[in-house]
Amino acid sequence: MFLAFYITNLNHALAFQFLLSHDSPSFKSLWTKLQTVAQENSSEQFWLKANLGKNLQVYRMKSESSDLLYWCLVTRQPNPLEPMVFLETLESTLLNYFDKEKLTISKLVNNQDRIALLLNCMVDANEPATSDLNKLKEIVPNREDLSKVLSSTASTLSNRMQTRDSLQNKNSGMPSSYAVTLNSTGHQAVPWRTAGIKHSNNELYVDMVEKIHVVLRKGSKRNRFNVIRGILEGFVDMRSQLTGDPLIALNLDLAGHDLGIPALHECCQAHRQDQIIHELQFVPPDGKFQLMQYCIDLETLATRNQLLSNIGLVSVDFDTGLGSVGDEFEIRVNVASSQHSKHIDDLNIAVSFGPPSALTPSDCRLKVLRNTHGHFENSIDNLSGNWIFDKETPTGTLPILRGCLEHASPAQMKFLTLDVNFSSKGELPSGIKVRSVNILSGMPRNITPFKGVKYQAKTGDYQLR
Amino acid sequence: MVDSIARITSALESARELTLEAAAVASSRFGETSYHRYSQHITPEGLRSLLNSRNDREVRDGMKKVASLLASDSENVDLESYFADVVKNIGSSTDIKVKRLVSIYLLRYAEKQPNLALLAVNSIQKSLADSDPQSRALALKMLSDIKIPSLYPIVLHSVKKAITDSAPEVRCSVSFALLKLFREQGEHVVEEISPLLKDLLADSDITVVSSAIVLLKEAFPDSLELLHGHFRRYCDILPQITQSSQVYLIDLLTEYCKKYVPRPVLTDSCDSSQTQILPEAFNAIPFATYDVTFDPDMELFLQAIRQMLHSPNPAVIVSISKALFELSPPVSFKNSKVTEVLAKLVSVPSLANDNGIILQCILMYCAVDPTTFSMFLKKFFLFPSDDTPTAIYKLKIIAALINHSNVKQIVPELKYYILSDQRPSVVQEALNSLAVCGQLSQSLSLHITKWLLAGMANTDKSSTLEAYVSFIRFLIQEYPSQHLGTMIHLIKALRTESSLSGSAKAGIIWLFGEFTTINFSICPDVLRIITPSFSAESRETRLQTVLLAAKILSCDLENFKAKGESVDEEYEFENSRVAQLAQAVFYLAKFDDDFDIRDRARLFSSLFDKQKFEVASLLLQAPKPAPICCMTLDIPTKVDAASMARLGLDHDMEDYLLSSPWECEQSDISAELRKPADLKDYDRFKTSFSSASFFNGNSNRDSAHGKADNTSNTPAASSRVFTSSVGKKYQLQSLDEFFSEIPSRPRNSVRKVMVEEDSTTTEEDTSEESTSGEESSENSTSDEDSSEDSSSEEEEENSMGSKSLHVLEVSESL
Repeated sequence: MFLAFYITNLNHALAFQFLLSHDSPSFKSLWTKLQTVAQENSSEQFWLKANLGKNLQVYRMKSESSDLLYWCLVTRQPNPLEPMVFLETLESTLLNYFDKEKLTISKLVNNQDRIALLLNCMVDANEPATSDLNKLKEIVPNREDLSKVLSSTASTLSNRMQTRDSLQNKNSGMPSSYAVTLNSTGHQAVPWRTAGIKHSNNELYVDMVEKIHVVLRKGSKRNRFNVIRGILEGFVDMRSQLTGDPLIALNLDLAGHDLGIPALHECCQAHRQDQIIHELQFVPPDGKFQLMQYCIDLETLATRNQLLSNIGLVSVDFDTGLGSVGDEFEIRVNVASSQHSKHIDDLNIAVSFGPPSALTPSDCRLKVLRNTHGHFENSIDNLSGNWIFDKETPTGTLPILRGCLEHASPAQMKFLTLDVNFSSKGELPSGIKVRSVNILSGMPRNITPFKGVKYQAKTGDYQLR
Repeated sequence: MVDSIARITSALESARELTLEAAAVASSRFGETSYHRYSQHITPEGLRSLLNSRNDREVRDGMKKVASLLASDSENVDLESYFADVVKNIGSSTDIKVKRLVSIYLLRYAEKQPNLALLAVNSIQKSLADSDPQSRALALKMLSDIKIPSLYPIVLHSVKKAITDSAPEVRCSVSFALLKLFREQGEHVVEEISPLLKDLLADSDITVVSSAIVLLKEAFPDSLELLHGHFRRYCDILPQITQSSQVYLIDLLTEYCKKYVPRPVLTDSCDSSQTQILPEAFNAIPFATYDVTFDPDMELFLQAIRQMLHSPNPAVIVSISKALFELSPPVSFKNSKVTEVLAKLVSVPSLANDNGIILQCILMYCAVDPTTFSMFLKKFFLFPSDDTPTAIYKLKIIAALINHSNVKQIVPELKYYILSDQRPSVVQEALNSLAVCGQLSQSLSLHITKWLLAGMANTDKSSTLEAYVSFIRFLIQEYPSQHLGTMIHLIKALRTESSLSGSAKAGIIWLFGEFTTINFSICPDVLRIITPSFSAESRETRLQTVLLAAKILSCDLENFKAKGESVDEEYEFENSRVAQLAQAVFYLAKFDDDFDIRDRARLFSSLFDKQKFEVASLLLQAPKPAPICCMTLDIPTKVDAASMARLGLDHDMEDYLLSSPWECEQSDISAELRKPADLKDYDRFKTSFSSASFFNGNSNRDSAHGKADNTSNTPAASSRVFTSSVGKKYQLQSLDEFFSEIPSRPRNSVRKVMVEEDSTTTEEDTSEESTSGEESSENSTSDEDSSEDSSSEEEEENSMGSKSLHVLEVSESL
């Protein structure tokens, strides 16, 4: 049973609160109470659960995309997943409702009334009620439409001036490209889709993103990498603006990967229970949604080479114990050439020799001898630094960095860890591609929608040690 | 000429209209930030006048300001004082957004101002009969949100009427209203609510069922017999209901199966005459290989949830896993692929916030039966970005999964975590897991101790060191005789390693103090070795040396007593070397510059001087609990609270995972119970039949029976549906016509009769502007956009309102 919701920034300054009854505490009083109950060492953690007395609990979730904390006050209940999942749903609903990648405090403050309305629909009788975005949009119409109307009014006004004669006999007033017209009396074809949607610009975009999570350990013979963890986390995000109730078939080229049991949007499951993963068929909800989330397990691949060919364009190797006294190291980066992308973005390699410990002589200093690309930034503890590349690094290059850790013992040199960060566009590390997106039925025949596909690769945890 | 002028003027006219519209829009709502700045300047008095304004836009601005004040926790404005100004807008405003904002305000303040809130009830009841289902649902929600006891009969009455509403959203809010009633009134309304709940559960609309399940779970979690008639249908529609209700329904149906469905029967596949019903304990199955026979109803349920593994909601996955875990034997649990999905959920770094909780669930399954997740071992190796709880539970799971075949893989990883991780609690947990590795074999145990001894010399963090020491102690307690070598190695380390930190030395000395009871012979020697350099040692080491001396002395006394043939033989302090040694240490400590050490030395020497040997041995030889408990539960076991506590799970998660016992005994009648019950289909109250609802019904059937269909069939079937939805338009317009034209005339005549009564009784809350029903409707519509439709709707609303007035009177007289 939910009692209150709060959204704050990372410093616990309130941006929004929604109290479900007259005796729910305001955030200020909750925060003072919380500080006495739970020790505040957990600010770096992603989630928090604190008991405030016998029957009262606070859940906190850190937003993945924006610098926000979501809180909710609930009465004690057995399944701690429920409030967490609800907070996650709330975040994704807000992101998709405002059509943003990232929510700012000012956006929240400017839209406090809307968020309150949304929450008022999402929670009824202190329990989760409607969570479907299209239904919520129907109940709380988005302001986006109005600004769209305004901009489209401006454009049609100029259009009208040019083709005044041809439009003369049509009724003026409503601009012809009015974005969404809702037919409130229409019947819903599927529960997650607003009935009778009409778009003037029919568009369908598929965004495929893969995150690379790899942990590799250099073996004791120091020349081969052992795979500790290797996972590709993939998302198929879609944005659909289509008239009617279209049935879409998404045909994927899986490049020989087994996606296991991916998480699918409810529209897939309700359409057919035995979906074939590479030929999904579904009636999409309107707007942005996540169609599929999958994981490709690289740990079970037969050979190491197979793994290395699936972790994107950047592969890194290093050697330690070089030089006359064995305190030098060399990092070799291979940015593979690719047909689909000319460059990778924001390449950054964090070099670290582990935490200071009894092993470390106090006068250890990380020093860079030479580097072919980018620049190196030392950090305060003298044991780590960042090799920062230019915004764009062209593919097909082989940057090298050579440095030394002065006065280091051989044992200390073994603790070299590299954290690699980059993003690239144009292809996925796994090689998965969209073969085709077809609209099988449900659209008016005369409309040919615009379709677009985008691929992006990102790094999550990419560590060599 | 005239024609062209007319054309120009009309063009200008339309241009003017457009710009006026644009300007009006831009002034208040184009830029959010500029609007926010504008609303910042609304003064408290200005807010009151905005709320009381006749202009819809001003009222809306006022309500927006109220909403943002509600959301921003500011203390400058006392929102409660605006109660009347805000709430009167329920009646006067036609804008549903304003009404919704008022409902948010009411939710918060209605209980504080019960008398004023009652005034609003009248207007809310009016909109209960609105033609728009959205506002009917909203009105019901608003009415039930006002938690005033005198209002409950009215709510109950409205609910009874609304339960046959043709719009599903209204029926949805019926179940939420009932839930609110139940929470306020508890036992008093059970008789009233349960027949209504039965109707709601039998509803043909899926969203209504979803909300009814929430009501069932919150209000009547034990009345599982209500599910009898719907069990089979719910299994079919399970994927289609809302995700939060899916979680509830899976949990409820699991309980139901345990209560009313016969247990699965296991048959030994070697000897088919050997059969047994599924035991309570998950892993207490006597057969090596076996076949399982489920009751058809249970099979249906398990089949349904197995197909929901694609769900994007982790809570659903966890409850599916729980259902499978409780209802099926290990072999079906493993074959169901739910383990794979759970492992997948936690296999990516913990940016997903709920990893910690899912891991607890996995830990429980692993503790009961490690083979369930042993193939996913690598998924539990840490990522650099894992947060503390995630890392700890992952390490616990690793500890549960350790066996001879994978230990070679695990040990180097654990070593790496111990060396590299910054968080003491994670290091501690990794050491614990390493200790479990050590239990597997003696050689491993020796290898690990050796490695730790080397590592011990290099740490200076006291928390980690504590972990090391307690860990070595654990290993030594396991095999005390084998570890004599280790102890001797430790002495060597004490003597030779000059770089050994003070706290590490102290830890080792403490270990010897504990070792006295296990193997006394070497300990006095240790004391002899460390005593000469007493003054040069660090503070912690000196303290532990004093403690060691006291422990050795007390142990020696005990040994002497045990040996002593006669009772009256006295321990000779003068002749005992051990006593001499101890006295020397106490003497040295008396001149220490640390008062704690002086104090302790005095304490111990006085204890021994006054011959309080029992007290001394109580103090010094108290058995210390083993620092590490092993992860796997004893086999075979039934999961109960006591065994769960050892896993260190979250308390709520423990409650959730605890399973209830099987109750069903009789197998012959139970299938009869689940004969499908009749559905309540309120679609027949709808006045027109549309193709879309046909599609809806068809999709249900499709998902229920579509398994047998081949792939080429299904798209064809659905495309037929979609093409048919093109023809929808015609029918919808006829629906519009039906609502706007045909019924308005007969109702108009009704209205004329009622108007007088309406205006007289509602004078107090519709305030000064209500002269007569006709005029007020003209007023509100003549502002900007007068259209035929809205006025006719308003008339309709009035007529409905007067009806609901009667209702109010009737129910009050009751």
